[in-house]
Amino acid sequence: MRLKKRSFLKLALLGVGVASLYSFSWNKTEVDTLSLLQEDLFPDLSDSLNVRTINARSYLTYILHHRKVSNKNKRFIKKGVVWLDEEADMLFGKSYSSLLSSSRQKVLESIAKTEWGESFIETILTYLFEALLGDPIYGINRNKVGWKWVHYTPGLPRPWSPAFL
Amino acid sequence: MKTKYDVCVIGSGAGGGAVAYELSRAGFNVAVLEKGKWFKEANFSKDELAVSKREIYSPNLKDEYHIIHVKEDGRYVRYDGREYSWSFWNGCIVGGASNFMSGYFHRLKPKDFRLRSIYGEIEGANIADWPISYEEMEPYYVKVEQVVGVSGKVKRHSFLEPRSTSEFPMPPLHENGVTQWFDMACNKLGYEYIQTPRAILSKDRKKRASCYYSNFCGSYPCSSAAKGSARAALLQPNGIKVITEAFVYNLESDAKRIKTAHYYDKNGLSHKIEAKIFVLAATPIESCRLLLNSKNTYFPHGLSNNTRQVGKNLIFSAGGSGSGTFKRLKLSKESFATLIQPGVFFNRSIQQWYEYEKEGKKYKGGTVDFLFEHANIIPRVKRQIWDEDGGIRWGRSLQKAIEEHVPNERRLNFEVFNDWLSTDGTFVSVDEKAKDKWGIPVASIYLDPHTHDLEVGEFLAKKAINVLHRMGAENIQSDISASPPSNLVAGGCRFGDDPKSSVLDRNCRSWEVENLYVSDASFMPTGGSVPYTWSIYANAFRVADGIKKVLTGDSMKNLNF
Repeated sequence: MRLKKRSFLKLALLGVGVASLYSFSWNKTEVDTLSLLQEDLFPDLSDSLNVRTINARSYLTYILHHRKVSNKNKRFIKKGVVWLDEEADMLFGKSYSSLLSSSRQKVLESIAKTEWGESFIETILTYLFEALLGDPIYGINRNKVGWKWVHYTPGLPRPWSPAFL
Repeated sequence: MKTKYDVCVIGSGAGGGAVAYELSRAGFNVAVLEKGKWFKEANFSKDELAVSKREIYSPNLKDEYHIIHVKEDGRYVRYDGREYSWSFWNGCIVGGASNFMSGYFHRLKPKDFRLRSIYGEIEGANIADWPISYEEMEPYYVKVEQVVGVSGKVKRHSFLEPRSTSEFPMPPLHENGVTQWFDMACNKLGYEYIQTPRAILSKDRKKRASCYYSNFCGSYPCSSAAKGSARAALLQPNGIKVITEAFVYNLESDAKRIKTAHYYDKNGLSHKIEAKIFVLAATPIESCRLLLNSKNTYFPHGLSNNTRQVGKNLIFSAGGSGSGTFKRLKLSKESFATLIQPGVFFNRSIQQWYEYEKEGKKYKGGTVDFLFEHANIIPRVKRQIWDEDGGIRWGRSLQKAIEEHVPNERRLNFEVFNDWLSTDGTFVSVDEKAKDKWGIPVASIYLDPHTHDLEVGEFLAKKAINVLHRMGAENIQSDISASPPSNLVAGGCRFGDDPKSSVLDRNCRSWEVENLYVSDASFMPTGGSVPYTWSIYANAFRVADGIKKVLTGDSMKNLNF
């Protein structure tokens, strides 16, 4: 199988890749905003299939600290939260988390027209899909709800321990 | 610790594994130094998050990384691999990248050995003939078929390379019924197709179980040892001594010979190994890096680099990929059931345009392999976030698209392999200011591909698209680009007959350091238009034969061990 280099130019164009390397800390407000964003991007399909049953918040929190996730990605997510709130404030005079669901969707529609906003939504959805479709050994995709939803049969052998934690 | 061996092999992938296997079996005292850990089949699983997303078999880029310079608008733009999650690691465990290959095995053709003589020079490219012929390599291709294991069916076609055996040692792997649609399409188009030979066992072998059709082959290490990795096929069954988690950072030499290899263990403690002969096989980029970092009084520009050839003429496999989609809505129930049958392979290739003519001139073409899209589910679902107009979607519209497409479609991909012409602007150096966790300068990779590569790739992609159209696929697309695939790297230590323009002689022995050999893909002046692994294995067996003669002959007296 031919492997390609990662698509890196998109984030490079956003101009967030020039700062020096540093470690990240995340406050509760940032994580709450990201968690709410996950719900807005992936609304409940049923009681058994939603961002809570796939443990999307905990997984994202873990990923935000993971050594194999690049600082560039982490930095982009951190800035994305700031920019999301700035967009919400510009449109409605409030932070994203303070808005009603319908207004939050308006904010998302607005940022989706920008290059950073499109990349931000893509990034958050990428990690959400990992929680939805990764092996339940990681405490995600509870009862294989994600796999059942898309009629997916995992490869064997499945992992017997969470290898990348 | 200081130990003496006949041969010290640095790297345990296809290039190092074959040398270690051959010399150990011949009774020599061999030690392999491998940076990664030793895993066995029981350790492997199809954990998409761990293997494909977090890449647990590759180094943490914060510890070990590459600096990449890309020629853009006439100047190099520098990318720090840590920042851009971009590297050329391809599996750092015993067996190296061969654990993660798909095992599409094609031999080089006789013309691949004489590219410059047959097709002439191309402006801006450093094309060179190989110093050896196909006929010299042929017995070693056969050896790989037998020792590593290749399954398939030999079919006569326009560019079938001469074979000294009539068949592969193993029958083809089981195939998906959709291959019949492919065969019919090719027949109607007048295209020659072949069953792709695979380095995967279709029958059990001693200590290795046959393929169990896991549906997850490429990118994943094999849980049955059917895939012909250097670990499963050569090192593990033969009890070869591999010192794991040993990062070699310096080769200490005098004016003629390496005396000692210095390596760090997992705790950062330095060790030494002495040997009569050292064989470097750490991947082209890392082999060049080690040589360039091993400077001393006799070799101020790096070991074996007094003619300044080390790192030059780095090549990749040019080409790209494409796909077509088959949908449940357009198929009968039976046809769709055939389409989604998991596990069994597609295994079809076209080599009809390995050479082609355009406007009265002959061109070197290449290979097109066809294969089903990888079974990893996350990319297949993620693809649905883009609507038909390229806009992003989320919420209910995204969920609806996932439900509509993911369970009801399957993609057939194609991959184009053609020559990446070496240029002055594509090479490996070291970055003295960028250091890894051990404080050793990292490899600095410069990329300036030749435009000719894209023209050939586009030509071949059009042929592949014709097949997909004829099969009835929809949403057909292709992406031929100059992006260098991280798993198809060669060159940097060319072999040749002229010491001024090559690093190695025809036996892959250094011109400047008499007990240094390089047996990974570094030796290749041109890469051919196929995946490299079979040729790496074959050449490494050939190199081992040369070393055997040296170790048993009079020339050993001069090595003064």
